Amino acid sequence: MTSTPDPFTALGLPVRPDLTDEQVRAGWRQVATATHPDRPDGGDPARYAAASAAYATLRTPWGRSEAYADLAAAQPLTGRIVAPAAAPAARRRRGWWRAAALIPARIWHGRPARLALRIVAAAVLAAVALHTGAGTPAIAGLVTGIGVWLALTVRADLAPPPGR
Amino acid sequence: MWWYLRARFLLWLVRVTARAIRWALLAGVLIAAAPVTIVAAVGSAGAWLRGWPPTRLRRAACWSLPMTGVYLAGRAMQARTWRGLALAPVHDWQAAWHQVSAGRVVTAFVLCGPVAVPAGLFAAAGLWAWRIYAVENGLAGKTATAPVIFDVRQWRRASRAARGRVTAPGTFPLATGSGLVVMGATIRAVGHRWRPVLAVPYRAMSRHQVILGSSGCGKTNLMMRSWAGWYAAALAAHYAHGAARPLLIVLDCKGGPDARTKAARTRTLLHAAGAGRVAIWPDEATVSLWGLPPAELAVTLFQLIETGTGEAAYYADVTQAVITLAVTAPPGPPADGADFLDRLEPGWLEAAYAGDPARLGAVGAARRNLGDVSLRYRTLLSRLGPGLDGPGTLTDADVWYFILEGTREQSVAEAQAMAITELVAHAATSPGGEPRAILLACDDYSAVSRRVPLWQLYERGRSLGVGVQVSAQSWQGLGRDDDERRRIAATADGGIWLMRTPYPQPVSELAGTRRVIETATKVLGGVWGDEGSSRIQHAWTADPGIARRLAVGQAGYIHAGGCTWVQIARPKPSPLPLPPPLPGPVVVPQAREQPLTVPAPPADDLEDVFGPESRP
Amino acid sequence: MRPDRLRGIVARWRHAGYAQTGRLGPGPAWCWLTRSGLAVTGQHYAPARPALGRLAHIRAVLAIRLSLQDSDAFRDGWARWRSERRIRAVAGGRVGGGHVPDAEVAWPEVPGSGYAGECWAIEAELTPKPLARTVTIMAGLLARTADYQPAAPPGPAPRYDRVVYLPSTAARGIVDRAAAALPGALRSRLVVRDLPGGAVL
Repeated sequence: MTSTPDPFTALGLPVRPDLTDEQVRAGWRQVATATHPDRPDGGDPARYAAASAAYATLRTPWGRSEAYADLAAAQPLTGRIVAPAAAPAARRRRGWWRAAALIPARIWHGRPARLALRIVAAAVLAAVALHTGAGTPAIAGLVTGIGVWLALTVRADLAPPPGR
Repeated sequence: MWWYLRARFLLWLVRVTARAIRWALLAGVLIAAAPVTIVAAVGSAGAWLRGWPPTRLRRAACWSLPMTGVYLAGRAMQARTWRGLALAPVHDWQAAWHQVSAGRVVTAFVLCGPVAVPAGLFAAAGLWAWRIYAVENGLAGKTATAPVIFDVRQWRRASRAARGRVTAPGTFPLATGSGLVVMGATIRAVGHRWRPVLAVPYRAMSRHQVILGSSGCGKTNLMMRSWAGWYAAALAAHYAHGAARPLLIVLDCKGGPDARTKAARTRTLLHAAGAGRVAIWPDEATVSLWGLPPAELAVTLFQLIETGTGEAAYYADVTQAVITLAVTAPPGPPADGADFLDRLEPGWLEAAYAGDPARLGAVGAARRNLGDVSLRYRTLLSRLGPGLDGPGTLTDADVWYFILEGTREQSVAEAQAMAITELVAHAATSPGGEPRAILLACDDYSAVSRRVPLWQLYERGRSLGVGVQVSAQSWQGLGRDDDERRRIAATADGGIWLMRTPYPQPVSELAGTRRVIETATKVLGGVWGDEGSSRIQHAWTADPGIARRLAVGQAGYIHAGGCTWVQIARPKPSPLPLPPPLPGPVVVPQAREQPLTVPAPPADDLEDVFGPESRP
Repeated sequence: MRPDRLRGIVARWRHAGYAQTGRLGPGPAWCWLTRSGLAVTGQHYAPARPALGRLAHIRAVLAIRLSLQDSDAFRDGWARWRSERRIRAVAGGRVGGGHVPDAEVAWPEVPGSGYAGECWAIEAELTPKPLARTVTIMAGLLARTADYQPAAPPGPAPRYDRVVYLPSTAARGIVDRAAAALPGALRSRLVVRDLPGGAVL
């Protein structure tokens, strides 16, 4: 028995429940155009059929919601209580890595221009402070203060993490 | 006479001179401590212009202390003695004056900044706090109305600042990592600790909340934000600590095309919060009332019909008896509405209870009324529509959005609300099912509250561990009479959200009062004098005057004797794609601790029809 | 029937306008009756191209039917297959309520038949549904007493002597769990079997 791809993959779409009707339609059109059996090269009937079935499932918001939930629920159900996959410390470490990996996307979807302006402002202030030659402890203190200000305010310009 | 005049003149001269010396000394100190003075002035001016509370300046001062710590650490390494360290800021101050006289102002600021900035901000906080105290208590200000004007102006500026702050995407996620539901930017806190962002623990929503606000005040945004935030926080707790998986049930009791728009928005938002299935009833999904256990099903079916009292009580008893006979018949409970209606026939009931003389007797006694009962239920089920005929249960989805046409067909909506409430109760208590953390949110519940009073829903929810959130357009919409309204509001342990509403007094009374100083000023010769008296008075914690003039999207969160006025941040889904679903704890029904066993096949396992089975 | 004979028959029917063929999915081509074909064969269904999303399910039910009709017990018992389409058509297109099974198998009162007088419901399950929904459908079929026509009288006994579930490997787990969740009185009439070979590609 061949395994059928999930409907999202069949239409070349990301696995998200919040896709719009237009996105699904565009995905279906793209795959249908490339695989229709009536093409001169014969197309790809198997892929076309899978895409047709996938479009029938994903064309409504409820269908998308169902398909996503089915994928999420397709974890193996063994009838036993399965503990979380990793110990709490390992999950926290994974959480840190995952949070760090999300930062570029959070910047892109947030307010990148304002963030850049804020960083430039902090850099300019720090550079001015360094340039004054006022003495290392004072400069270090001021640069620390600028860094703290940047760290406290930069979060406002990032998009929230996914799921929040 | 001449001596007297000279004495008076000398006294006046001494007083003026003393005042001048005092001011000169003060000016001297301020100029000498110029770096601190400048920072304090800038801080105070900023707070005055932006409507900040003194707490904000104090927090900024605390956050600038690391700067001072690094500076002192550096100086300690250079000085190597305590005396040297203690005098280091003084030396830097002296050096700064030299730099200023040489025209190098920036260098001077860098030298003094690490100490001047936190000191100046603390001073600004004190100055601003004193100013607010003086104006509000009549000790400052040019006119007697100064406190009123000051308060209104500060409110306006704080609102403006809050409106600007809620546009920052990162400051207002739906929920924080520690289970707080972020609602919006604080405008003013009375009796609560001031924080720049109001965040409510998601568990507070399990203790019931009330939302009051007239049409167009931003109630929908507030509710959606609270739902999405609650869901996100509860789901995070489920994955992190194995807490119960959340289930959100929304009853939109008004209906209409607006309800569909709200449902679509809710779906988008809840998907972004991590919900899997979001079902919209009845447009897309159905639930089955017939999945209730027979006893509960019989009671619910009876309650769906309006029955009388007095002489009509006999008919109500007969109806109840007939329903019980039909639902608890030996072939099992009805699978759907059509099956139930089929059973309301004498022939069916007699055949079902053949061999049970007692029940047959009851059937015989009710025979005369069976036709009426059948007609009533046929009419009711036809009006209720197929939405409650299944298939489906509440646990099929993570979020249910029920659209009840309370405006168009009130009696039908009331019956539907009653049935759905029973399904919620069943979902909360059914043994052997996965335990879920349930939040039941009822929007404009007054449209359907005639048959199921809200206070009953509240108390039932409390006993079942179901959080209930109710919204109404006005105080009057909360219940049938004042007693019921006060009971509902008083039991909202999770807090009351007060938005713009024309009659906020009762809610303000619930929030209580606080003690303030009231100052009366004398009018002398047609002008306000500088004499008067003060006394301690009680003032509203949640000022109804503020509630009446709240702008769109502003709300007061009343909880634990305090009130925080807040600008609600518009709920927006995170634009980032969700990660793959986490392999959280897989919960099996609690009653089963052994691996599930396949039922033993019947003795003749149809191998002659289907062929031999490949698996054992 | 030999494959070459089948091709010839299909070609003639297609030529006569009674049937259409096409490669709609993986595996062999599909053949379906047109409006003329339905009329000629005395079927009163509305003619329609098969819905692509349901092809896999149609195929599975067809495989079950062929497998059943190939068995000696089915032939000797003169059993009759009643498809879901026929059930709905007999009910006038509007069934009263409840889930309609994929097919019914009626066993007439034939002497010597092991299942004389029985009526079975057949359900093919290819994809796992939520557990609660599966339990609801199972219980609905097992508790049903009336036919699907809107005005059909109720019966004193359940309509189906057996409800036979044929899940795929993917859906087997859910079906087993749903069966275990049924009350004992209903569970005794439920049979769970594997899908026959060729039902799923």
